[in-house]
Amino acid sequence: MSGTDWKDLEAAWQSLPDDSVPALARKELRRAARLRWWSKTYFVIEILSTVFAWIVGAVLIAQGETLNVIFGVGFICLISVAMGASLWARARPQPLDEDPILRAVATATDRANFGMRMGYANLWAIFATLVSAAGIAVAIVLYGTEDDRAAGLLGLAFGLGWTSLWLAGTLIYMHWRSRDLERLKALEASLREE
Amino acid sequence: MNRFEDIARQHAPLIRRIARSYEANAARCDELVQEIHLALWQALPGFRGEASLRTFVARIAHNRAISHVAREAREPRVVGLDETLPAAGASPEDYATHKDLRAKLEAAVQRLPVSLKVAATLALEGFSPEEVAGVLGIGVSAAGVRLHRAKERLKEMMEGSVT
Repeated sequence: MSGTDWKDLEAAWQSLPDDSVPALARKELRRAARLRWWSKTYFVIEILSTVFAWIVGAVLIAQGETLNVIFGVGFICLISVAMGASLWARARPQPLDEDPILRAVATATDRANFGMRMGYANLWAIFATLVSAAGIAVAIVLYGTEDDRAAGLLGLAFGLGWTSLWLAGTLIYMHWRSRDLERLKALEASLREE
Repeated sequence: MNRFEDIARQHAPLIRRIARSYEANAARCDELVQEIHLALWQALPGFRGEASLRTFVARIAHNRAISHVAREAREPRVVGLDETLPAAGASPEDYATHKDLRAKLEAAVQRLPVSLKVAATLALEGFSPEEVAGVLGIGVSAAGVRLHRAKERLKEMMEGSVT
């Protein structure tokens, strides 16, 4: 056997041992089914949370005080944008395992590109949040009563802490996504080359 | 479930060989095989017979393996093959030669870039250019070119001119 005759190679390849093929455990199947169920449940929770947040925003607006109205409108806008972005992301095509490889890679590249755009949109939203927070802080200091100042500034400090986490999460996500994108583009190019 | 089990059993060697072409570590290869089986189980209800069943299975196996390698973020490591019993009637020399060829072949396939690895593994499985085109999602003539290049590259590697 020369080792380079194609028929020999085919025969050698097809004789590769498969005796240790693990049977797909039923518990793994059940785990996958649970994951699928959780994914649907998570979506329902997301919708319910949005509705709840809208109600909270509406209650704040209904109270009629200027600061509450501003917070209420801002809250409703933020939640609506977040839910809209989530729905938009879900509506985009997902790479399917049963797709031809090139199509699956192209879809994954498209999603990674979309993820990067969402990352940049988040950075702009964070910037807008910081500008709004600065404006609110000025308003509280200039026009708020002593009680308003304490509560308002505490709220702002909490908001800034949350925004820092949001920023850190966004930057980490964008770092991963940019690496994915680089790898996927290289893979797509190599799959397309003649 | 029975349909899935039948199909999984029927294509287990194909799935295992594709997984091994991407993942040399035995434990991670087992995980990858499990992942492919899960993906097959999830995708099977959507199989409408537009392509042959083995094309469908090969697509899933390669797509899962590509994702696996990306996630592991490292090149497949070449390790020794599992010990197997010699085929009945084979002399020790035949067995040693065959085992050596098999080990070299597997190592060579693992070192191929993804675009050639897909074509090479499918060619070694005896897929036609039409089937390879269906798995890759490219035209039949382009698949023919890719198959030719993969075979040539693999032969060169087996002859030791390319490492």
